[in-house]
Amino acid sequence: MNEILKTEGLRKSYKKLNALKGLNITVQQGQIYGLLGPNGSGKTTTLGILLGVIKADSGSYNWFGKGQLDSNRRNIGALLETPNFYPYLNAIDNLKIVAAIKSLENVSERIEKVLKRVDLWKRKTAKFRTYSLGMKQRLAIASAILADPDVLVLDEPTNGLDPQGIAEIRTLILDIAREGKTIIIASHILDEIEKTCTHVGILKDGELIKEGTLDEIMLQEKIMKINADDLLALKDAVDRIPSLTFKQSVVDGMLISTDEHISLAKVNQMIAEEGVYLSELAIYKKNLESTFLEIINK
Amino acid sequence: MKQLITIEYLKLRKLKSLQIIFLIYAFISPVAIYAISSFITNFMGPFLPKDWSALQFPDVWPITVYASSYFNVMMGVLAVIIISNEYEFKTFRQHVIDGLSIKKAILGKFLVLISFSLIITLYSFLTGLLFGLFYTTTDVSAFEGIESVGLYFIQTLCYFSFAFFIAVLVKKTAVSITLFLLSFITETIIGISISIGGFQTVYAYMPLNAFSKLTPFPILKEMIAAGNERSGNVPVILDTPINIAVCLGYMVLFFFIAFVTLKRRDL
Repeated sequence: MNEILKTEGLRKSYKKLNALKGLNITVQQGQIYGLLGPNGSGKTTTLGILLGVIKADSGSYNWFGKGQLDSNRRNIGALLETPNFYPYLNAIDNLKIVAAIKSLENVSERIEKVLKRVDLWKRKTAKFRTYSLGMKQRLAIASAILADPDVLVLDEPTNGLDPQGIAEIRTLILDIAREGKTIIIASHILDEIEKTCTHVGILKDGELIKEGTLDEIMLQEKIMKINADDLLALKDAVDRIPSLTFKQSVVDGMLISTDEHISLAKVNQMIAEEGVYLSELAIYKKNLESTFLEIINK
Repeated sequence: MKQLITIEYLKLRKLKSLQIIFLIYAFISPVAIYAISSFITNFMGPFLPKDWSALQFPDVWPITVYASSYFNVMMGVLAVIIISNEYEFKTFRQHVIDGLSIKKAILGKFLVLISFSLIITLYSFLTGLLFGLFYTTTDVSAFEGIESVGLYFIQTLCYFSFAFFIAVLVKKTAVSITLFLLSFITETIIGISISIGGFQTVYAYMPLNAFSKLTPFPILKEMIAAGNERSGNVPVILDTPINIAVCLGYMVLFFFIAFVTLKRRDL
């Protein structure tokens, strides 16, 4: 798999605030990489540096193995924070400017294709200032895919959208991902990341504190949900088994954690040997939100 | 170069404020030339040289550029709008994200300003030429005194450099325009104050005053000479070559500071 992006020791400070403290991330071709973190964790600063509009104090980044060339960005479609277009121009005129910057050919065909794809073709001659927030976001995505780039970088792509708008953008992103594009999404909306990303990097106070596939991030320890007729007896049994740890009581049972190599069958056997018979035993998959909060609050 | 011109053309061709300001310039500057020439001829009689002939060659050239220079402030406001719009709409930042280098983005703006200077200089030249051809009764060459038009071109670039400087530093359109206009008033007040204190030479070297003196009032030298005879307390006008050097120095300085600021600053 080709390495699309690699950063090494990126640092950035604003006066006394250390926004980035030596960031190292790697994104491989075809990944949908979610850069996750609370507000102020350094997500936008990271993307700003990678897109050439913020200067890093130190460290480096490398796109496509070609370093930090301005021309690299012509093969990257990006939406950073807000959609930025000329309000007095319509969608077509705004996209013509993008096409000129990226030195594209067959401009009219490309514009028609992307505007149809984001469902803005009917509003192609309306001025940008008349668009709703959702339409502005969709035009930004149309602009990002105009050059059919290998990489999309989207910063908070569903910011301020209503549920329908969020669903539309998410569908669009997944459609684009199916074409084999590499997508980097920064967001603090965990549901959005969980539903779209294959890989996640979690930022906190300018540092990458976790990185991996979505499953790796969410299943760092094996958590099981168990239940029995006598919950007190079950709790005692769990406490007597050294390789099991009681986590918390939940509706209809309790959560326990085990070592990664212990199977469900083994857990069932160990508890049965303590004289308690399970009525329920299942791997408990946490959602990204609970995992994220655990990691961030550590 | 062609790419940058295309990009800037696509941005500007539908900008209403540009169309309005250019239309105002196109309609009012000939009227201003005619009005100022009439004023000088009718009310400044004692100062007029013997061979003065307002709208005839070669006197039409200094009147044309002097009258047109009033509109340079308006064109400067246009320059401020064009540049600070890029900040307000965050499009300067988006162009860099889309793959344009910061250097090219700045160069695009230089090209716009130079193009504006060329367009309004050419327009003033044609206006002066038409007035001259219509009113001149002698066989004097149409190109005698044409250097005034060249000075006008330098002057427009100088004002644009100042507008560029203000817009880059301030970034907000309304604040930039206000500051740009206030600079003229502020410098005039400071200049008059220090002139009263006997520092007329310092005032002559101040940027906006130096720019304006590239296209002075057509009979300013005669008026100064008359004023000298009466009181001796008159404005100092730098020799043209020195004034050109001073103005070019300021122009380079303003462009340079704006360029370095843009290069260094996060977008």
